[in-house]
Amino acid sequence: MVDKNEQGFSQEEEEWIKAQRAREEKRQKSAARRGAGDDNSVNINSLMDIMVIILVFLLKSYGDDPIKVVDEDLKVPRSTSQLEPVDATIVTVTRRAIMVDDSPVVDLRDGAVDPSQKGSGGQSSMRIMPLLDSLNDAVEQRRGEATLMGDEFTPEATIIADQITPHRLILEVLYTATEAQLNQFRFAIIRSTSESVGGVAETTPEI
Amino acid sequence: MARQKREEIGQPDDPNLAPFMNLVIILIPMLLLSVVFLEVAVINVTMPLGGSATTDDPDEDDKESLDLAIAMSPNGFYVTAAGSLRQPIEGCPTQGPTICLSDDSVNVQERFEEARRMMADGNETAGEQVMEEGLQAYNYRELYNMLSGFKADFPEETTVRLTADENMPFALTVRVMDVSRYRLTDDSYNSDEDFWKADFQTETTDAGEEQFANLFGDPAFAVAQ
Repeated sequence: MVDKNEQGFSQEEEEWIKAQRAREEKRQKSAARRGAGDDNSVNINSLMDIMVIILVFLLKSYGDDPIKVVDEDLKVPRSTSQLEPVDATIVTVTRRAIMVDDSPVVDLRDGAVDPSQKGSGGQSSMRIMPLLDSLNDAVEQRRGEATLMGDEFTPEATIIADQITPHRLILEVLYTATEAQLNQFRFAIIRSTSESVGGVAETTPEI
Repeated sequence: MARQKREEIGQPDDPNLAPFMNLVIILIPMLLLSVVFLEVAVINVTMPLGGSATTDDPDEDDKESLDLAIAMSPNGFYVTAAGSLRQPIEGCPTQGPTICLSDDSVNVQERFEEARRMMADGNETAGEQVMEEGLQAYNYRELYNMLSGFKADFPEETTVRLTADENMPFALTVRVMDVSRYRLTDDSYNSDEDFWKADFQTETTDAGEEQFANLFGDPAFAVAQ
């Protein structure tokens, strides 16, 4: 007959081993939980870094853009001009309205101003009365700002016009602006290459 | 109890970033939608006060001036230089414009009207394509060749007066300004592809800076009184 104690652990030892195993298991579980928690926080931090960088970049490009050249009813033409835009009174000619510094001034119908909105002469007149009033106000404001800052007032305006705008309307806007004592004009365009403007950019050279 | 407190001090809780993340996630798409990834530039133009077409040049009587003018019409370009309307170039109808359309099968007036209708109906892309067909019908290469010839005789002149028929689109005016702005590597081109792919000629200023050589880079608008 074999002694029971020689074959295995005593009752007390078995309980101790069980308790040890339970403790070990608990430790492993808590370690696993801690590990998983660390991983999560690392992921969130990296994501946060990326998000903040993108946010700062977008906010900067949003602030840098001085003039809006593409909208629902506005797309300015492409050009090879290299000149940088400057801060000036902005006249926007979309397909539906004329705006001065983003405030709508006069509505357009079929690319023309209603004759009732023009000066004496009606249809044939070059003077757009609401635009003239608005530009006079804008010029006065700019002149006042320049005086306050001790600078010399430059009578200039940036014209943002849709690519399909009839030439007649462009002339009317320019003429009205000259009546408001503005005489230096800049047309806003989307910078492009000659190849792209001429429609030969996609052509691949023959080998 | 004491041990638990130590652990709490040793491992501070992460700040709750969820509200900030929500804000950032909303802001990014909003900014992405509003940002336009296009480079904006400008073209300087002049228009005399009151829009007068006449110029008061003090040197007018002393020496012959070029007084270059380009009129854009649905049939092509009418070029006036040194006080006379230039005769149509070889290959163009004798009674027509100085530089006729390169593709006379295209009715540019109709194309521009159709483009306007399409854009008004909200069909932006198709409208733009139709307008481009109209614009491509003009012969910009011959216009450049002619302007280049004038430049050789009047190297100091940089002004070009631009006029157009009432309904000509602004895009055409900009394209003519592009063609007349800088000198290209050659003074004359025989192929449209070579013309559009040509590089701008550079010159060194008195200050030692390199810049593109000016052809007729000062466009002026005027209203016929």
